[in-house]
Amino acid sequence: MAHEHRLRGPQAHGSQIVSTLRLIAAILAILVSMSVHGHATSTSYLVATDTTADGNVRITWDLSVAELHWAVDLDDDGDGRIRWSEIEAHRAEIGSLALDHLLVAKGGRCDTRPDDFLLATRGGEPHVSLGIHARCRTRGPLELSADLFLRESASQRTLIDVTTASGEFTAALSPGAPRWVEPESPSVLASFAMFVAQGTWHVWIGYDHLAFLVLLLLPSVRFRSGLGEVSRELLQIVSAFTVAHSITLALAVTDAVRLPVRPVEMAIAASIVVAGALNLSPAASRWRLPLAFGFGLVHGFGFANALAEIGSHGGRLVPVLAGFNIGVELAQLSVIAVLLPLLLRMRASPFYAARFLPAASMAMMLAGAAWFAARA
Amino acid sequence: MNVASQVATVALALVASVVGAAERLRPAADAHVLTVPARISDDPIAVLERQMRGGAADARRVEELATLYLERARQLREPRYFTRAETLLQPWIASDAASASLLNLQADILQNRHDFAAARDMLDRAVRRDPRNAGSRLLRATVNGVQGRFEEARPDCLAVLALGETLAGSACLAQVLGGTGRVAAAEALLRPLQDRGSAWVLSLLADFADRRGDTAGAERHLRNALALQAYDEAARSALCDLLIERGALTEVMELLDLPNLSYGLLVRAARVQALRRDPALSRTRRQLAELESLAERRGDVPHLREQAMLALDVEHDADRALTLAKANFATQREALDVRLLARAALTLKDRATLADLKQWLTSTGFEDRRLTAVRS
Repeated sequence: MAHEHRLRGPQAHGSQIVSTLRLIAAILAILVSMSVHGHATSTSYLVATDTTADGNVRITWDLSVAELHWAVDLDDDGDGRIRWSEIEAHRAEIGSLALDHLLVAKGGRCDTRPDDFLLATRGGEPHVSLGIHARCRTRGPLELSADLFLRESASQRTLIDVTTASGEFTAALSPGAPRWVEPESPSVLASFAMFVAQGTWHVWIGYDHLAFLVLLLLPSVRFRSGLGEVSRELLQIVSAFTVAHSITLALAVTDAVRLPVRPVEMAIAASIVVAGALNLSPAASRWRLPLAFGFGLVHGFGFANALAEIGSHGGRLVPVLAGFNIGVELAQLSVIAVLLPLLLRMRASPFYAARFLPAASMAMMLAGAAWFAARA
Repeated sequence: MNVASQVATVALALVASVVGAAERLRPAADAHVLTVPARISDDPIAVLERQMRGGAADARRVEELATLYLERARQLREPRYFTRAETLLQPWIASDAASASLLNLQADILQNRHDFAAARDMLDRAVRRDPRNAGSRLLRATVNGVQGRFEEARPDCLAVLALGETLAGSACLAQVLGGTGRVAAAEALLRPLQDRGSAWVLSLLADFADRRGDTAGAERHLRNALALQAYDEAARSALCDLLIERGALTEVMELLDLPNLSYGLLVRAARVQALRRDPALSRTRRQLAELESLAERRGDVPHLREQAMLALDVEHDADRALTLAKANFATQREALDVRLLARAALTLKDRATLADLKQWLTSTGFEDRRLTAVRS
């Protein structure tokens, strides 16, 4: 009905009819708009890998078949069914359309040539997945500009996932920002300093690591008299804890061992309960060193998860790992520096061994049990 | 006519990850990749496109073609036609001489992607260009109405009536009355018009009936609206909600038996699956999560209303639901938006939100039988 009127054109009663139709269209517009369409609107997906030093960049660019069909009529026989053979028949045309709208540069423009030609599914929709090989003769930060279909509409996006030697990046190219340039990576010293700060900060705000450390330290001052002895015991325990968590942190960060987050978090909470319980029995004090080492291993995985959350670290393993570890140690030392004088003063009082130590241990055990329950 | 089924995508709709590489494969030559509308030589869109390729682009043809694109976008639930319309309109909109009708079409595209502020700017420009264009007034009133700015909508509705557009003007005014404590008057205004074949009028009547507590009447109106416009997503969603409420889950699944389910309709499917403890729920949730992360990466306006519904009715996460419903309420204030906020706040006994909501209900006079708990 609508088509009939419109095709009659602007002649007979044209403007009135068109105006009324427009009104109804407008009304419907609002209603239909209130729920959002299910599949992707105008999105292409570009994945680039630039990890080798030889100037070769591998790219796949997934372009929606529906969208390509508009630029290049893919339905050769017009039957409404686009077959793979029909798409392949347009392979050269699609390839040059894509390459005309792709710029890869590293200092200078790289040569691009089409590679393989496959099908991929994105968001439940078929996409032609173009393999593209870029050959770069110059050096510099990777630069990508993929503006196919981008000029035409504000809602067009090219989602990019890039892996380079300095890390993994994601971005969305849009008509307002059609170009992506690899960010300059921080210097070795800067990443080291940053991760020292991150390590320190993580212990200070991570109440569970602090609680475990404090539980290990509390009994150290009980049976000893001299400062020398206390210090030696403290040094042993803190070293055991540190060595253990450094081992597992390194294993986890290098992906040699991978543990899921939840069990690790639960084990850390459990370590607090166990350490608290051991503090209640003077006879158990000989277990503290193995405990510090054993649970140190577990806490290392916890640090690894924290480090993973901090995110992409530019592929520089050594400064990141060393920085984070040193940060953790600095935080531990700062805790000891505050706690030790207090404990040394308190230990002379009978109140310390009889009341304070059990009460504090019980309180932290309860907190550990609560964390365990919350994380289970 | 089941137009929607014309755009069925291939069955290999595996949920692929938004981020990173998708699985790539080489299909058989005769593999059916995508269904598109079959080529019809006298398809009005094809006719106009041919004429324009022949160099016959003028404002009238552009308007015709863009209108057809928008219609088809809604009929086929294929948002790429919006992109296509926008592409077509862009050079014309950039000119100061753009007609109000062209600006209306662009505003329609903008509000369709929930960019309400830009849509209103575009409509302000259209009204300045031609104060007698009823379409601009109506669209502006409806955008304002959807956002709860009823008093701003009122003068535009009156202008539409004064321009002789009785049906559209009445519906427009009824929306204002319905939002400002005069549901009975709004119904009285629309009831004589309910057989005039407007899905919008029927949807408004359904909304009013529902808010009076007449759910059977609301259901009847919505079914009539869908009989007129099978692709009216808002009517379909509202009908699903009513049916879920009265436990007619099989009927809901019949309503949702469509290709390309929108985010909003997928949430309704998830609600039914959750109630039935259907294992298909996990797949639906994966699809929803993928759409969310895609929208996030693209930088699209999030589907706050439906996300709040998902959090409340499927995930039973009232905290998250409240956050989402509050954010949604800032831009959308239809009955469903108000109810979601009220339900989340009541679940959490959030007095501050309930007090704010009560204040809003009092100041606007918004009536809804389901909101009595908030008023008390």
